[in-house]
Amino acid sequence: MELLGDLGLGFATALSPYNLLYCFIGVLLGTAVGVLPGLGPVATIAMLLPITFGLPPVSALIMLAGIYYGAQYGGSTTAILINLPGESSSVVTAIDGYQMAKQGRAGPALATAALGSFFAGTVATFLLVLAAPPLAEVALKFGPAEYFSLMVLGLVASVALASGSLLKAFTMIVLGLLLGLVGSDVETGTQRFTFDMPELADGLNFVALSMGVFGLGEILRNLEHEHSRSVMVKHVSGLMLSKADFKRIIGPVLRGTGLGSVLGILPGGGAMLASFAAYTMEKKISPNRAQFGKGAIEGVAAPESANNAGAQTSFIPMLTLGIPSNPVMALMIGAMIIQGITPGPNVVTDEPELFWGMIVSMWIGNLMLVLLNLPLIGLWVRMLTIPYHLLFPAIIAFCCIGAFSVNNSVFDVFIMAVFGVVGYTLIKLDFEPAPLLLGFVLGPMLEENLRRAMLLSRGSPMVFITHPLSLGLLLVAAALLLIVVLPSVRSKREEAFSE
Amino acid sequence: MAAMMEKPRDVVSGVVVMAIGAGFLLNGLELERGSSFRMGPGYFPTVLSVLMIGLGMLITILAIRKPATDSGFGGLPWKGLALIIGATVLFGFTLRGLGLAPVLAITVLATAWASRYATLRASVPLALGLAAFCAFLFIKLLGLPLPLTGPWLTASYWSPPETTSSVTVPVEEAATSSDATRAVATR
Repeated sequence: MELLGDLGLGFATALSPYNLLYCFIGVLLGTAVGVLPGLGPVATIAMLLPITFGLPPVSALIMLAGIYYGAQYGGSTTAILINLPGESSSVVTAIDGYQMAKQGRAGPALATAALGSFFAGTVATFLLVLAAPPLAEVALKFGPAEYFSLMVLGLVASVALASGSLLKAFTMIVLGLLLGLVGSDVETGTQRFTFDMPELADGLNFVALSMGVFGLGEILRNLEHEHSRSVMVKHVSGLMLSKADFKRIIGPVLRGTGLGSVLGILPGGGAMLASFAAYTMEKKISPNRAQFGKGAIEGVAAPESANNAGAQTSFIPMLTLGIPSNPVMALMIGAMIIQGITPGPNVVTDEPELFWGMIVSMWIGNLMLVLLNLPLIGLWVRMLTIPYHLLFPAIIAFCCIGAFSVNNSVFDVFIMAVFGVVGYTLIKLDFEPAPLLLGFVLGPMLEENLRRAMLLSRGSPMVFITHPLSLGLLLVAAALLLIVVLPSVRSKREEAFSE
Repeated sequence: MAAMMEKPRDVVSGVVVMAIGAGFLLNGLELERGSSFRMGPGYFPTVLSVLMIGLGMLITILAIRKPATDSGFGGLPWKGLALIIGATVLFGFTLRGLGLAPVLAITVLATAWASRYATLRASVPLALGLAAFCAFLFIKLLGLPLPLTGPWLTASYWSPPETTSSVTVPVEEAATSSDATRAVATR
C-alpha cells in the first residue's frame, strides 16, 4: 500500500493552490499553442523555460508538462472545426473530424475528442504510476554498459519510427551528437570545438539551440508558404453524444489508448506516431471502415485517444531513466538539469514530491482540459483569427528575450540566430530536425557512459555483449533496425506515413 | 551556384553532410584520441565525424543513382531570412545599449516586414504594444536584469567624457541592484 501513500503525496503536492494555478496556466497556454498553427509545444516550452527558473522545480515542471498535453487537445479542436491541424499529432483527426463538422456534427466530434483524450489520459497516467517505480528500480542496477546500450536503443528507435528518410534521420542524430560535444570535455577539461570562445566552454546552450531550430527555423518555413487564413466557423451546438455514437467510440477509444500507450513509451514515439498508427489500424479493422474519410466518428476517437495516451506515457522513460523519447521530453530534461535535479532513476526516491506531484497533476490537468475546452471553444476559434503576420513577430520577440535570459548573456541570442539559419537550411534540404535535439541531449551522456564502460572493461568492447541486460537492449535495437530496412516493411512504412 | 541548384536536392544534402563531417574531423585533429581502453577527448568526436562523412557519401551516391524526381529547393525567401536573422542579431548587439523596450520595438517592426501582409497600420501598434507588454512582464514582474531604456538613450552618454564618468556609475549600480533582485527571485 506504499502506492497509496505515494499517490497521497502526489495529490497533496498537485492540489496545493500554487501548483494548481501553474497547472492551469500550463494547460491554458498549451491549448492556445495547440490551436495556433505554426507555433508548436517545442518552441513554446523553449521560450518559457527561462521564465520557470524562478519557480520551484515542481511547479515549473507541472506547468511545462501541461503545455505539452494541453497542445494535444488544442490541436484537435482546430483540426475538427476548420480542417487546420494545429499540431502534427492531430493531422489525421482532421480527415474525419472536419467531415463531421461539415455535416453539422462538430459538437459530437469535439465531445468525442475530449472524452477520448480524457479516458486515454487517465489510463496512461495510471500506467505511469504502476510502471515507473519498478522501472526506476531496474534502472538503478544499470552500469555504464547498460546505459550506453539503452541510449543506442533509444536513438535507433527514434530513427526507425521517424517519418521520412531513415538515412537522413540517422544523419540528424549524428549531427546532434557532434553538436553535443562542443564545450569542455567532462573528464579532462579539454576544450572541444569552442574556437577559443569562453562562452562555449559550457557547451552550446540547449534553449538557444532549440529556439533557433524550432522557433526561427519554423517561422522561416511558414513564411515561405504564407497565405492569409480566412476562418469561418459556424456556431457549435449539441455537444452531447447519442447512445449510438457512444457505442461506436468505445472500441476505438480502448484500442487507441492501448496502442498510444505502447508507442508513447518507445523512444522517438510520442503523440504524433500514436495518432497515425491508431487511425491506420482503425481503418483496417473497424466495421464502419467504408465510412472512413467521410466523417466516421471512429476516425476521431481512435487517434485522439492515442495521441493523448502517447503524450502521457512518453514521460515514463524520461522520469525513470532520464532518457528523452522526443524533443519535448528533451526540453523537460533540460528544465530539470537547470533546476538542479539530476534526471534518472534517482528522481523517484530522491524527489518523491516532484515525481508523484507531476504525475497526479497530469491527471488533474486532463480533467481541467475537459472542463475548460468544451465551453471555451468559441474563444479558441476566435484566437485563430489572429493573423500569422501579427503572431510571428511576437514569437521572435519572446525567443530573443528567452535566449538572453537563460544566462543573461547576449551570446545565446547570437547562437539562436545561427541555429535559426541551420534549422531552416535543414528543412530546405529535407532533414527533419527533431532527432537532432535528441542526439544533442543524449550525446554527452552517451560518450561518458561509453568511456566509463570501456575503462571498466579494460578496452574490450565485449562488455556490451557479455552483460545480459546490455546485450538484450542491443539486440532489440538491431532487430528494430533490421525490420525497418527490410524492403517489405519499408514500403508499408512509407505507405503509413504518406496517408 | 546555379549549376548546383539544378542537381537533385539530395546531392546537395549529401555534400553538406560530408562538409560538416570533414569540418568536425579537421577541427578535432589536435584533440588527443587515446586508446579504446582509455579514450581521450578526441576519440568520440573522430568516430562521429567519420560516421558523418560516410553518411554524407551514402546520401550523395543514392541521390546520384536515383532519377531526379524531387522538386528541388523552391525559392529562397531572402527578404524574410535577412530581416529575421538580421533583427535577431541586431537585438543582441543593441540590447544592453538601447535597453529592452526600444530594442523590442525595433525587432518587432523589422521582423514584421518579413511577411507580405505587413502594413504600417498593424505593425506599429504591434511593435509598441509588445514592447510595453514585454518590458512590464520581464523587467517589472520577472526581474530580468535589463534597463528599460539603455545608456545610449541618455543625452550625457554622447556628451564629452567628463560628464560620462558621472553617468556610468548609476548605470552599474542599477545593473547590480537588479542582479540582486533576480537572485532573490530565483530563490
